[in-house]
Amino acid sequence: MKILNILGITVAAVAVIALIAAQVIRADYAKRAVVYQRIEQTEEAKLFGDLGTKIGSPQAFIIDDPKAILPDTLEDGTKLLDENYLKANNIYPLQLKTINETVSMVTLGSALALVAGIATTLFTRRKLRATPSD
Amino acid sequence: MKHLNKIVATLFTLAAFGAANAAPIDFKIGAGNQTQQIAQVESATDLETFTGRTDKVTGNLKFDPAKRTGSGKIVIDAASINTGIDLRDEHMRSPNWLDTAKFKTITFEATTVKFVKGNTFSVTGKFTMHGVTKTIKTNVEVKHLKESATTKSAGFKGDVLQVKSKFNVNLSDFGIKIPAPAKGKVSNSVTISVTVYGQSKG
Repeated sequence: MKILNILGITVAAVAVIALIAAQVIRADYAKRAVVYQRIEQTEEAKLFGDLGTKIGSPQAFIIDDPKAILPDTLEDGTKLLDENYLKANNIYPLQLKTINETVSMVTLGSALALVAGIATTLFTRRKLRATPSD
Repeated sequence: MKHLNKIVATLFTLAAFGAANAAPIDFKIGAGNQTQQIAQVESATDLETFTGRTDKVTGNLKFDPAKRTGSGKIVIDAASINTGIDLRDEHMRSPNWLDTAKFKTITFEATTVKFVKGNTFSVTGKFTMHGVTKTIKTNVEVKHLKESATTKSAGFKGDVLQVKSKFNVNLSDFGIKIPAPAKGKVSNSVTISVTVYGQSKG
């Protein structure tokens, strides 16, 4: 029973740390995320007056390599990611939404673990108190 | 002076007649450098938006720049679509998804082309994926360049045609059911887009 009590407290403590860490990570990535449009620059596209061929739709990415960012922007100011550079360097750009979904799952799991930890702690403490000591 | 004006007027009339009766031009997609063709499929969910792409696009287009009419067919090699993650690509090619061993191509064949304005045309056509054909109506942007030193230096032979289009389809309409483990990771509604270049010679 005592071991369960310690386990309950440990699980609850780890869950609190995970909850806080998840929110800190979410906030950090949110600050660093910028909406980019991936663009593949080709001679053929330039021939027709295009900056390049758009790859996918604009997304909020976290990009740490400044060489991946092109100096031009779209007409609405959306920044551009160099698809040729991403491909050449095997970079799969990290999306903010992926971070957010992952953090949400960790938050939910941690919250459930916190509830389980607190419930175990309270239950085992009651049992320990009820057990007569010699 | 009167005589000169008559000659000039005749020349303009002949030029206009010639333009109005210009024949449609045949363009071949994928005849030369393949990497200029791009076909994409984009899936957007709360977890991730990913784009599968391929440059293995071929086809034949017919375009009349004077009459602003056209027709044609675009063929995409389904097994060559790459999403950037090997395991995901493997799943995508499997019988649970595109089943590319059985259904090797994704095609779009225009049946009606109507000029809208500028470079925009409204195109109705048959879109075939996973062995199922549906009628799709979409806007297509078409730009035509006559053969020149510039088009030649870009690697093209003859006149060049750029065709761009984007439309949404539901995977379920084409017999593709998202397996339970993939729900939330792959969207049923996907965006298909193409940017292709055809040349009139070679």
